[in-house]
Amino acid sequence: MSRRRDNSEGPAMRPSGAGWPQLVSLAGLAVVLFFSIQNWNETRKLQTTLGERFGAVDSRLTQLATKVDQAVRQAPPPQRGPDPNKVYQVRTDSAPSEGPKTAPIVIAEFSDFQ
Amino acid sequence: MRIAWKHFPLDFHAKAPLAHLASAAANEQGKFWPFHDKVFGAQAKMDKDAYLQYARDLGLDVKRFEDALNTGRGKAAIDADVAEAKGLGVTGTPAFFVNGKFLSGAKPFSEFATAINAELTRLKIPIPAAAQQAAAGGAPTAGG
Repeated sequence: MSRRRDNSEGPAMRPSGAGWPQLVSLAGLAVVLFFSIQNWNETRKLQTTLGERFGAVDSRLTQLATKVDQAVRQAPPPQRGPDPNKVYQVRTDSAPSEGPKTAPIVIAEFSDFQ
Repeated sequence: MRIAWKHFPLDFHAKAPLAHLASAAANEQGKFWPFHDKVFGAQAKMDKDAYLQYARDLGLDVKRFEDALNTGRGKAAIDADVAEAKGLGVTGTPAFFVNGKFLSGAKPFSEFATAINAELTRLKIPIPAAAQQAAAGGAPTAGG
């Protein structure tokens, strides 16, 4: 307890020195607080902008996907050669052929040697 | 029934153009099909010497045959067939048209029989029993 008393003698020194460190640390705290708040604000702003951007990108992607789907649906099925439901005119008069000229069935064969 | 040959040498078959020219040269002398069979019978040999040998084997006028080959006499007819094929939308071989109806690729015999029988029905020509059986998937029988 006697030590405490010793310390309690300190206040006599206060006006000259003990106030400054406290002030400085208070100021430091204020600065830190200020920057944290600012930082937090910036982060929030950034998050909002990013959120908006992602939203925009997302909706654009959805639009694109619908367009692609529509295009795929509207596109005609890939044509693989002549239409098997059609009747084509194939010139066979001068082609090398086997069988009577007046045959009711004529098969034209497009082919190659190899 | 008549089978007509239409030239369609595919672009990526390097040896096809000469083979088609040679077959056209044989056709000049009325020997297209025997020549065709020779070429298909020996796919490995597809050069000018082989074609000249086939021409000799078939009793053709070899000088005329060689002249047709050298001057490319059949080229116009071949090109016309290719243009016609492309106009019809044909992209691969073999491609068959049964009375103008398209049958693509190497189809089983029964598909030809079906297509032919459909045409016979349309033309009100009686279908032989063997042909009906063939269309149903049965093997072609002798005399059918």
